[in-house]
Amino acid sequence: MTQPILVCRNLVKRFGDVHALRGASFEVHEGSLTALLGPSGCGKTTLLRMIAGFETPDEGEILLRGTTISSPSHSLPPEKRRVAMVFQDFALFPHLNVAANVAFGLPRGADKAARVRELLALVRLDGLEDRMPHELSGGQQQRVALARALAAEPDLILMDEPFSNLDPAIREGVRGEVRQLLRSVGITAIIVTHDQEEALSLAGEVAVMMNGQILQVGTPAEVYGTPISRNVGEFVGAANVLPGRAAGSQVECVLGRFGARNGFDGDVDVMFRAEALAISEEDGVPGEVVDIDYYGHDQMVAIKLQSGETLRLRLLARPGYEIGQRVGVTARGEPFVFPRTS
Amino acid sequence: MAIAIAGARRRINNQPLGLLALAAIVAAAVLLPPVYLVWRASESNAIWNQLTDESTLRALWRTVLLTASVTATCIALSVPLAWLTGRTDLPLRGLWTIILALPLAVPTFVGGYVMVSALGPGGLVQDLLQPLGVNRLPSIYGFWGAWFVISIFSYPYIFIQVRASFARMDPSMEEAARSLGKGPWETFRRVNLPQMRPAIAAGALLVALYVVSEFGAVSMLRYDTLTPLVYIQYTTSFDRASAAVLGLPLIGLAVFILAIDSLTRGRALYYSRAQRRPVRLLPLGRWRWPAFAFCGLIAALGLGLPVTVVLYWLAKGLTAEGTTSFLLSAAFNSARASGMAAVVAALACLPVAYLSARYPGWTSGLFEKASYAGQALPAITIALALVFFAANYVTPFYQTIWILVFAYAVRFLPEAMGAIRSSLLQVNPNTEEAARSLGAGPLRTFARVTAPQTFPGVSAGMMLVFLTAMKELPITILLSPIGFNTLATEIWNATSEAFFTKAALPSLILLLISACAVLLMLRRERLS
Repeated sequence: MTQPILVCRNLVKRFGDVHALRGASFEVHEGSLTALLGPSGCGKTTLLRMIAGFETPDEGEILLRGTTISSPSHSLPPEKRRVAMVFQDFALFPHLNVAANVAFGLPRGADKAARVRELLALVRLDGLEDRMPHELSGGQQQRVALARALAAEPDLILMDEPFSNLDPAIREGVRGEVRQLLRSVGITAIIVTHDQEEALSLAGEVAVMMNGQILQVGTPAEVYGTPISRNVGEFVGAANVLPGRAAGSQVECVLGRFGARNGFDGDVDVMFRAEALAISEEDGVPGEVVDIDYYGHDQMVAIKLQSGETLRLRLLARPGYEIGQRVGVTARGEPFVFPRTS
Repeated sequence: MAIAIAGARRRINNQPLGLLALAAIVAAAVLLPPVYLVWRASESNAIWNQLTDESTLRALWRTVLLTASVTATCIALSVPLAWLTGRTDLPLRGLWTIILALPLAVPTFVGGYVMVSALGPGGLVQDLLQPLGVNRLPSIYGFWGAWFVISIFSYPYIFIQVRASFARMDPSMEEAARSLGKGPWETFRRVNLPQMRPAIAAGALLVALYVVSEFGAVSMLRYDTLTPLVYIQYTTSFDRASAAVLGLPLIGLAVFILAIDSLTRGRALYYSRAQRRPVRLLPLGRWRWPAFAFCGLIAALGLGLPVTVVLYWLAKGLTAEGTTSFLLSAAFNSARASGMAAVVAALACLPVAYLSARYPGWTSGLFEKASYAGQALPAITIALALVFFAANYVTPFYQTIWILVFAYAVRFLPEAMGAIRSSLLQVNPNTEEAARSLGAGPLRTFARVTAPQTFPGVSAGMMLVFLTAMKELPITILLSPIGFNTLATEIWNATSEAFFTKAALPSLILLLISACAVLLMLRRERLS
């Protein structure tokens, strides 16, 4: 693989008593689209603002193309970094029209009018040069913000929760557009989000962040399919965790005995994805349907086992079930096994 | 802690040193007058004797009495007027809102001139009644005259605040009370009144501070509160420390009022939702026209009376020989000094307001609070301190327009701060950071992103300073260089000499200018 364009090494940041970053490290490769995924308050926005130059680390350093841009003693000002940020609220300049917003960061000497036209065509906003920001829809504002960032010809684009201010109905479409756009320009981008579905569907790389640290970096399939801890597994997708006992390559829990991929011994947490469980009338563990979330294309069915645990199963929309119906639950494939945490 | 950080909006870490230094200079400049005054007073060897002297105590008592009774009167007038114009089917209520705010456009010393020239010896009413054989009128001098003039021309401070709070109040709360079985009176008492409390308190604070520092009307109506006493001491005695001593109880009283205000402030937060339905107006029924008459009476006293009296003297003066060229220079001088004060105040505000809006913390908070010191300093104490200071330490500036401008700026900095700070707070800080991340340095970001967005607030703040400085009296009298006449000093001198026709035109000009200031205030509260 190519040399990483951005390296974050062991970043620490405290705000008074709050530990926002506790040794966060990760790398980003040229031309990649990385999602920084984590629950709110995990420090991901602080990390993003540090890469942009709006915060200084207490410890650790950030390197861009091999040069240190942030360290406790030295912080390159934001305007010298060639790192453009797209804000959650887009932060368009309210006193400037679309063309002037886009032209703001254009390098000196460029043929501004032509470049603005080109960029607006790229984000499919041609003809809206003279509009003021408040006259645009949310999706249009976001594309202006993106065009404005691209105009500065940055090495890296940072996007802070870029889709959270958009109407849910158009969010998915805009996401796809943004991904195609970034890919066609070939620019490196980091997108901060707390929405796992967004991260998995959008990015080539996902960095899972919790409690001020990056816990796992990998492709969406890696992060979803082989989470390195119970926390990551539960955050990245719907999961059921059952207490179990492991011995060698075998693990046993209320749903039966399974082969385990990672060999632990003793008390463990056994985790099944919601889609890894199924209903089986013959050999299933008996339980009762207690709740149904119906989505049309599929449904999430909560089943309370006789032993007391409640499991959530992602099932096809048909057949339908009823609350109170007695069913059996069975597992397909190997579960994830982690050392007992509670 | 987490809350404090969220509130602090995690800005670029370090407060820029240059900005900090500028803000510190502004704070020091504002604190110079009171500190110097106290220091000067402490040089007096009879400070305690003077403070406990019978005449001082009498003036202090009069100031307290006048402040309390005027404030109470203003509240009693404002609350019903605001309710009538805000919540009932009073005829022409939109127009009344503006008309009832306009008495604020009459500076109280112009009000004093109106009273003296209408009802005093040799005044309008005596002129009119003399043919009927009436030679003596009941005296207007003393407490009642001062109480009437200051109340009728300063109640709008409270009226505007309370009326604005009615406009902000969500009518669905009143509807909720009604649907819970409460009648209109109980709804007013238990829902509206508590919500109006912050507005009443804010307006009452302005009125009380105003009465304490009022100088023109009490002097003209010969009710010797502390301010005339300070002035007399200053003009008649060579011992300047003793005038400074008399300034102390004035500042003390203002600080005391501010302290009461901050101690009694309620803790509830009053929300008003953005989406509001039109108000359902309460039918007044047979009270409709009496209410109309009540509004009419207040408007007649607060607006009709001064305008009529001024126009009467103007008409009478037109037949006399003209003094228009003299007046032109007075108007020009007023505008020049006030305009310079507006520019200086805005420039002084910017670093302080920017620091407090973008880097909230205890240092920036301290500087911001200091810049509001003008509010707690009766104008005459600022003037007095600066007369002494200029004469002793910066003699090149003594008797120049600069010291006058400086005093105006100190006094009216709070007005500019309010407008400028709130416009800075409305600038989305992300737009500044966006500019930085697009390659613009701090100065270019300020010039191209922050400044254009704050322009309306800065110009409104400057306008407010300009308009209020135009009608400032005690600072102008004490600090104007010799031969530097302004509209305010013209009116003051003419009234002292009972030369009523001469004061008419400058009064009219001031009335018109102040009316602009009131309309500007109304627009800011979205009442017109």
